[in-house]
Amino acid sequence: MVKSMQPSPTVENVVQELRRGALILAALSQLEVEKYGYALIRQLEENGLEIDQGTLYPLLRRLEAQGLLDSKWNVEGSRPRRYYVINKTGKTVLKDLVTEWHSLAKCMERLLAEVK
Amino acid sequence: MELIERYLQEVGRHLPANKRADILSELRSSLNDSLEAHTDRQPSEEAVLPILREMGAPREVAASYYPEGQYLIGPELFPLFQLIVGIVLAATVSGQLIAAIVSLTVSHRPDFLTLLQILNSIPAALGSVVLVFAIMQWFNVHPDLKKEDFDPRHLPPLYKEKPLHRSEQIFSIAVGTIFLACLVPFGASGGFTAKYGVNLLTDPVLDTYYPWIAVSVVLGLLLSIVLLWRGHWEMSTRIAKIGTDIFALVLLDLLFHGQMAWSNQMGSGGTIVEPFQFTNTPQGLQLVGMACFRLAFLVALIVIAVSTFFRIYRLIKNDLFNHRVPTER
Repeated sequence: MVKSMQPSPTVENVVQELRRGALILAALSQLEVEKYGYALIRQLEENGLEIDQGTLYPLLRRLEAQGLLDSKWNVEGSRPRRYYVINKTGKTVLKDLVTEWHSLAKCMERLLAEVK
Repeated sequence: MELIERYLQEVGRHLPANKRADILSELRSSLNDSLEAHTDRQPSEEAVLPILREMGAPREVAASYYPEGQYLIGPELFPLFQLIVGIVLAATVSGQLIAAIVSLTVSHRPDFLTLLQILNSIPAALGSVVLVFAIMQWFNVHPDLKKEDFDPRHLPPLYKEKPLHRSEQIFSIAVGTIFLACLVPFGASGGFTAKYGVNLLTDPVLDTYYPWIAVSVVLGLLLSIVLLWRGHWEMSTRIAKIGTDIFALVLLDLLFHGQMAWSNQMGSGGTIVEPFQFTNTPQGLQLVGMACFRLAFLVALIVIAVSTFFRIYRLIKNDLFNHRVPTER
């Protein structure tokens, strides 16, 4: 899912709605190994998913508050960084979300097959 | 980089205090990572600008850290807020009306200010409720309200607006016109007078206020004509009706007070019976007449106050909260 030019505010709003849930899934999927925010942004970008910092950091905080991620500050290195990693609960939730995502994707493929 | 610190300072102004330092440290780290990745040279202001623009306006960035959005009273609290506002408003208005009626009937010293206090007390009551709920929202207090099992069979019946009775409007227009037709000559001929032998008996209080009585009647007539024309009640006509009723209440209170003061000045007490001891004299008849007017004003005052209360209640309950036109005749 790549951020694209939005032709109208309506499309922009719908795209944001579509991305909102997908970003959660994307972030959780990439945190099997602990990462700090900027590294996660780069990794998502490398896979074609653009996300700005102003969106990712609040999202990581929410996922942590929901008990799906753990985090800790690491002061070793050039500057202090907060590292995030998916925890046991997060992994269980991620598994369910992935199943749901595949089911939804198949369903949407069928529904959109005839859309020109 | 000073620009980054200025940016973070501005973001921090809108962040919750207990998380501010932690969030700002993370943002600072991320901004510096981003800056490092985008420039090879010594970081300059020009290099920082696009990074900050991409991050977004400070207020928006801070707002994204509020998972439920920034509300004075959020969606979870709003249904309870609506319920409490309804109860508080009804209690406030009825309390003041009861106080006004008690003052009118028991002490015979109706205080119009008590009625006016209703208007003052509504914003105060509303403000207090809003303040309490805003504090609850601030501290993220969400009362655990029991969710009732939804049973579609218990849904309220379809709302059907009763039609406005045109005959009533025609009747009120006819009565108002006749009253106005009588009122104008009275005023033009030197006041409300009655002949008793060679004596001319007047009602000085009615004389004083008769132009305002005429205004009140004309307003009522105009409203009846509008209602007859429209054929149904609307928010605007409901508010206009409440307005004309309040105007009438003010006038009736002034008339009642005036009659009371005049009777006291003439040596008659506050009761209706007392003037009858003077009935064989012109002054006695005048006092009886004045006392009858006073009684009529008192009855009208109470009736209009009660009906106005119910009109306001229906306006709040049906028009303002349920967004529908209430049933009213």
